[in-house]
Amino acid sequence: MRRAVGIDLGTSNSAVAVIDDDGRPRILTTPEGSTTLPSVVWFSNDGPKVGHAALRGFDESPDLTIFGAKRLLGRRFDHPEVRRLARVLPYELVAAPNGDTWIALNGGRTVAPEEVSALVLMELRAMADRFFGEAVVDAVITVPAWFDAAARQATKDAATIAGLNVRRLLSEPSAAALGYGAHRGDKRRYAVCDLGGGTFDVALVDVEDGVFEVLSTTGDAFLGGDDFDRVLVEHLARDVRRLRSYDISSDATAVDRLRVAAQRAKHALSSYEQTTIAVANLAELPSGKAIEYERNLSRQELESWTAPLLQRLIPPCQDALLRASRRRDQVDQVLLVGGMTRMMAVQETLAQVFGQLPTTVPNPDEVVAVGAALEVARLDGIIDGVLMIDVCARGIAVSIAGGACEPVIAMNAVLPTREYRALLTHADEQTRIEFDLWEGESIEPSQNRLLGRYATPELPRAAAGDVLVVLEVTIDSDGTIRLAASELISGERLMVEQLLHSGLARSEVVRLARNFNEGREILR
Amino acid sequence: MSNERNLQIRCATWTQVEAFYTRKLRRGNLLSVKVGFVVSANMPITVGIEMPTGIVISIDGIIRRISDVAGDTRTWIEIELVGLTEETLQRLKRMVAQGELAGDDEVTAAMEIDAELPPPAEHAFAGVELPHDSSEDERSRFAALNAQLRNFRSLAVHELLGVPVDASAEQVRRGWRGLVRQYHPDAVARFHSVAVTHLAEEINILINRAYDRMRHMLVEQGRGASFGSTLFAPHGWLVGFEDLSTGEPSAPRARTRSGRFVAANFSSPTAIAATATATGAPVPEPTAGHAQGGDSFEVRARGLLSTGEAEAAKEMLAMSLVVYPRSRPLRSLYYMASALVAMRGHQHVLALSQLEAALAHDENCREAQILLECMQRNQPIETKVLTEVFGVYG
Repeated sequence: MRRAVGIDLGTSNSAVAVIDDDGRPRILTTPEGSTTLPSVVWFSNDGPKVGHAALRGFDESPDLTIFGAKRLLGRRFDHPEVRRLARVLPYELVAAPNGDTWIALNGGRTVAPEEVSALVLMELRAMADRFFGEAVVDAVITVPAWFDAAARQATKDAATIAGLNVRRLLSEPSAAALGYGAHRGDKRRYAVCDLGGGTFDVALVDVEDGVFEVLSTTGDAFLGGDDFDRVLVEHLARDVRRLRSYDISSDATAVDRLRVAAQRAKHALSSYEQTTIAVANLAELPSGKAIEYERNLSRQELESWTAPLLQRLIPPCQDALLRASRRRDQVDQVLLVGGMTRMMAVQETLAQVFGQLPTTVPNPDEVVAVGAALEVARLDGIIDGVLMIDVCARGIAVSIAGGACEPVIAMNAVLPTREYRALLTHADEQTRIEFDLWEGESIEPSQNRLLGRYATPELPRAAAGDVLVVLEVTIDSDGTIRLAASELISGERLMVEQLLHSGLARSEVVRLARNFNEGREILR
Repeated sequence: MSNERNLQIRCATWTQVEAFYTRKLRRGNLLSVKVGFVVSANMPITVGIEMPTGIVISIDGIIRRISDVAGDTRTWIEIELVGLTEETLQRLKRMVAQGELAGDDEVTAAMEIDAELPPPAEHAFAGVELPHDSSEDERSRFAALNAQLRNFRSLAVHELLGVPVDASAEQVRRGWRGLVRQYHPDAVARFHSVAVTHLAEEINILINRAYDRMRHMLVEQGRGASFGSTLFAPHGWLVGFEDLSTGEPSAPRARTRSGRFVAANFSSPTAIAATATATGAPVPEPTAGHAQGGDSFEVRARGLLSTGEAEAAKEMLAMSLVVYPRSRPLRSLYYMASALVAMRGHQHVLALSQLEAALAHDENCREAQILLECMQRNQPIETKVLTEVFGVYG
């Protein structure tokens, strides 16, 4: 049997789950015994290291340690958010020749975010290979519901490079709802709140007769568990300064030790009212004497310190309700996803917003991967009567010869869908029409994102305007765009040549995938 | 986005599948076939081998050789199946072994090869056929779907959804849901049949379009809010397009006003091959008399840069990088052009990063070093400077 896995490819942490021989989903563990793999790649001198092994790279060579590559997938280099990220990221971003964002390493090497994600996927795939004792070929990968065509394509390319065949890209809120077993109930509306390592996502998901539909999505891209850690470390460092009159904030090792202790305390306070933070050898004074640090921390203190962060959970939730034009009493159940939702105060804040107690599971950081594995079972027909409805996150438009964009497919059209546009020649004897495909809703090309430039060659010779080409744009159930053209009069199919493209070129993806298959390093 | 060619090879029996990898392939992964469509050398092509069970195994390939056949409209092509890994081969062999055990292998006709554009046309369902050994259940499902597709094509949108023409938003939604449950491609995925899934997808496209039309009409008439999904990226995820309306210069989008640069350089295929293999190596001294392949792009780019036409140079270089994506000199020139454009737009941070990128691609790039020094000294970069820097070969 062809083995398939469900993959939660996260911004800061990833996870992989499979359907075991007994038909139950099972989450896989890394060699270190953890169920989640940090989505970090360190391009060290002895080859790329992924996951826990890459964390050491943050100390040794932060400029070669790539994290959060998911944020860069299919993104334009000149976008202000990328420019802003470029200033704060320890690694360097460069523009690819087609305007995409790439990452610069040492020695003039560059990697595309697709390649970084591919390395993470390879590691996840290796975990599954070890579990089954044979190669895994197929995968279902989760992506945020609002990922646009470019970002989806980039995710697929990353999988291809990693030697995985993507059976379906599944939206994360749907996967979470599936992981919670929503397909077994009857008509329900869920609010899925995902507070992970680096991001907070809220989505309203409607499930009726087994049909899953994401109604709205919002979130805060810069709010996550890492922010809670940072606040905690800041307060503790201030405490150290007050007690020992020594400032550790410039001592990276000390801050790191404090962060590990703070993280442990944060986890402990999810189940206990009080815990003790003890760091035996925090730092060394100029005199050579070691600083010891020990203090009690109560849940109340933690909650008052992180209160500003907790407040930031509220607006995205209200926004999600507003955008779906639903009231909070129309939400039947609140589902919690992501490790940070174990914190009592987070659950209480969300309970206040939605006016009901949220549903929890013991493993909120694995539930998306479990949902992806269930999707594999669904596609195989093991789970029957469940459907996932996807919509296209951005409209698609076409323009000829640098003219205005003509919308072809509307934003939020239900997938799969297909629309037609007629293109005509504007010169006598014209044998070729070139057109651009855009993603966005504006008629002004500069406000949309270029997906590619195409041409239909070998048109019959005739007077201007006499040759009509019918262009058909299809978006299939996966969000992949396909183009076809035919000549209107003869009905003859025309070839569509691709001249420019966003993302990696197809041949480049094939080359990188082959390099990986042959065990070569995938760096350029 | 696939616009590359698809070549569908239909194997009706397991013997044919076996013949594919035992007899049809030369030197392990070269496949020669006659095709009826226009191809060009080095064009990517996906070969889909359809198993007797209907499962299609796709293998990526690149067209290596083309030769015309006298008196035939078709062309012989030789495809290098770059995607044919040992893993795929083993899988094929396993399937053949299992398939022959099942003992359904009687017909031994020649392999049917038919080529088609990947996206199915409005009338493409006529070309989709069931494999010979499909089950009775699959056959009847196929026939039912085919009839339904014809039926749906002849209906108005409200008839298709089974609602009155003045239906409410809730009625439209309910009608659509019912149809989707019945005809979604995933609902027939258990048949593992390409033909059935394809038909279901075509039907689903009609249903979704009808639903979108009805929704649109309801909103236009003010009889419903924009119901259905509303997906927005949270702030900070880089999907916004806000930057573009502020009138900042747009991305290095690699647009060109005409194809003249490409056309001028495709004349010599040997030059292209030679340059492609020489990438990464030290650049040969380009001279105006020896303008071929990537070198010719470089000479032209330098000419444009030396006269201060940075934008034109950038467009041309972006174009050239489509042809020679791995050429270091072209890349560093591209980043320098991009930097000059950014400087003109007073985007100094962007300009600096572009110059650094130019150096990262070619650390001995003298021009980028000079420009970087100029920027660091806050010295304006005038055309005079550019002529000095880039005009060596002009």
